[in-house]
Amino acid sequence: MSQQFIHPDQLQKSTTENYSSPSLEQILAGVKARKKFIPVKGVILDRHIPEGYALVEKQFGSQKFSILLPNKLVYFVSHPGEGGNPLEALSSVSEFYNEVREFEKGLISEGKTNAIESNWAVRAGESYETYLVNYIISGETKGGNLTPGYNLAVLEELNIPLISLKDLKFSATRDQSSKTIETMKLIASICLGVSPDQLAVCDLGNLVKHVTISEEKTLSGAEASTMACYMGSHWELKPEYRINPITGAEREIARRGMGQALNVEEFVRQQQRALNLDLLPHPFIKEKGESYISLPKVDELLNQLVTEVKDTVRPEIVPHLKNIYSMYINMGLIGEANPQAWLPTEPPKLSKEV
Amino acid sequence: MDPPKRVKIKLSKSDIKRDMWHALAFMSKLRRDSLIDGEYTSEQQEAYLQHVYNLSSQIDILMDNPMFDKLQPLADRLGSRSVYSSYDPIQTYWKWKVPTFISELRDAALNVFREGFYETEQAYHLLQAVKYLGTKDISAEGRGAFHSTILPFQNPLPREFCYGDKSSLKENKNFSLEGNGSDLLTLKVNVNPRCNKRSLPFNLVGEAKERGYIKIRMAITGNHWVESKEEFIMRGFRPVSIDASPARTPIPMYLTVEAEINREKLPVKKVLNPLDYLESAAKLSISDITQPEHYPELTERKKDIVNRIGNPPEGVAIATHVDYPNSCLRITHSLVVEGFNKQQDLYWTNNGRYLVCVISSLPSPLTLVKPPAPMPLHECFSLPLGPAQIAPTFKIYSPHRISKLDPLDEVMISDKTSKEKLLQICEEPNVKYVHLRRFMEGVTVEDFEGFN
Repeated sequence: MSQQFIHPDQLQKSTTENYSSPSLEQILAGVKARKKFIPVKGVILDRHIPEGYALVEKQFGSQKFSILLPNKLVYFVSHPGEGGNPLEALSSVSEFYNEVREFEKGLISEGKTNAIESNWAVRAGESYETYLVNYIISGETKGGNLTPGYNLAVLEELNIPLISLKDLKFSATRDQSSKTIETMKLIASICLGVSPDQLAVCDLGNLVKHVTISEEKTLSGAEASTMACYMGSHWELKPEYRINPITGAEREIARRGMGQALNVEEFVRQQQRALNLDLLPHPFIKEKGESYISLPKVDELLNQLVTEVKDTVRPEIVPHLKNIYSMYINMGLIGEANPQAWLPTEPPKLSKEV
Repeated sequence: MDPPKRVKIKLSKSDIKRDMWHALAFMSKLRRDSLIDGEYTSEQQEAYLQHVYNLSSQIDILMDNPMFDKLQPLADRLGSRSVYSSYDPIQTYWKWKVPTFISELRDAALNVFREGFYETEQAYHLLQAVKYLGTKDISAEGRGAFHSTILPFQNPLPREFCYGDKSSLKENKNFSLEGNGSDLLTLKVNVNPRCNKRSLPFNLVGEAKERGYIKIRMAITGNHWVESKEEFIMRGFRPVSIDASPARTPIPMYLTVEAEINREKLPVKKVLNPLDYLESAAKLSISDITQPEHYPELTERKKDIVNRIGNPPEGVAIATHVDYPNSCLRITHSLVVEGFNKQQDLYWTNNGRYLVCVISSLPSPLTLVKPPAPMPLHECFSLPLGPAQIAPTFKIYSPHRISKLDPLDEVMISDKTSKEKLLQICEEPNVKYVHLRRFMEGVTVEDFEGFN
């Protein structure tokens, strides 16, 4: 069917005040349903702000966008990494993220734009990433200095083996733990475009920084009045491991294992030499007998890892398992070798019963 | 302790730009995933549209007059013929037949993404955002129709549009073309047993590339004239050399040709698919770096627009900029000054894959050495940089030791002010965008960008 593209004479600039204002009843219904993201418009008096919620206004130039946000999420999103149990934060932030995305669908159907609103989704995604880091990592004091280390209790619960140098050598044993390591190595090697025996264990200290206010700090009036200052401490990724103009796209390029002027056939042969084929999912060996061999999909390998443990862990962890594995592989095996090759993480959709 | 009842957050331009990279990153991911599969699910399509909405929102809020001037021609084209909305960088048709469109697209992408623009893929995502922005004020039905053209990748161009009646791929008594099926980018050709030797579609591969297929599956059964497989391959496919493999291959780089003769499979041939960005990447990896090839020549030089922009956020922006030329310029060119550890005065400019550093005081004697391994940039210079994976190509000059310089370097090491240097570089042919930054003791002291 041929379509005729109609568009206005000019690409007109819009304002962000383009979403319909919910009625008070709708707001109350949202609060009752414990919604995490309730957009509001117009003047709201303090006494009209529901208990347990804060009114957060984001502004760019003269344009504003306000939402009602549960208190806890105020610092989950504006102080990522802080505020107690990372697992609780992961779930709350995911719910928030998905509600933002749901709201966006309404704007999309009306063809509207709202950059301030879309900033919420990005912030939630970053916050989620930081809580993932804090879920996997805990600090340990070595020689008076706080250094990052893996949270062994978490790894044990998730049945994730701690990767050591020894594991990076090809092991002959085929127990579950070494199989998990082999799969993670395969994912990392695809991301980096190297063979598994070229991987190295990463030093966490180079990837994350400890963020805290450890000395006296004078806050400006604006900071004190506009931010809730929860002084705590957390670990977060250094800026170079977060999305920026290059890393965002290039990590994806590298993720597919096609960077570095790679000879695909040679690459696949190397991997097959290094690994037992029973680890490899269908697409990897599809058409193996022919000269066309497609690369395995990282997603499928991650799903394979998730499938193996999802029945043995607490149900509230399950939706985050894939992201936890991705972050663990990022920090444990990809690391500094290529920040662009890091696996992306996105807050998952949670089923209602979780 | 509960947070205050009211919280205000002020967003800056850099916050919005950062969001833009997020949107682009996810769009690239979706595009790549679906291209590899040759199909997209409705979830992928919906997610892609959502990221297009994000990108459109960010462009909309940042849009100034120069950006508007670059985007409007794209909207005009989309409005003039619906086939423009089917553009995909895989289709080589546009490059050869409508080069002005490609040039407009690149100009727009350069204006929007600036130094973050490094591949044609981004221009594709930008075009989807323009589609979205252009359908704001139309009826819901019309908008829905256009939103349905916002896809991770586009279907191959219609035969009639590219060739009219002259297509080699026109179905006739010699060929039957199978429907697309689930794999949208694979062309399935069944050669009928009665097809004679001369009716072989010699232009098949070229045409498939132009229209945007990434794979051809050809089945030949019962044709007695096929004397040898080799001959068939030579005549039918004319594979080109694939030695010049570019450094970065985000999406399918070859048109894969699979053929069967009497049910016996032939070795698969891969024909280099000269996608825009691949070509530019390949050229850049072997060409003289002082000749920016990425951007098309200027037809009309416009007046410079020089903006003073603020300091970048700590670490991120600078590292990013330094990363940028890495992606094409390989480490083999890298030179590090031995014994040099504290930079005094460092400039860099970026006119499409070009980086130059000028250091006003260098230790004497100056020795240039090849780094033993990729070296993080921040180790070369005491700059607040992240560990760049590969040391970028540096040209390091001492003003006292000038041998042979290209015109841009001469400008850079002259005694002019940064602003004058920027203006002069903007005058150079082929220069479309310049970002000039000056560091002192690791701190940005001047930051200018200019368009030509």
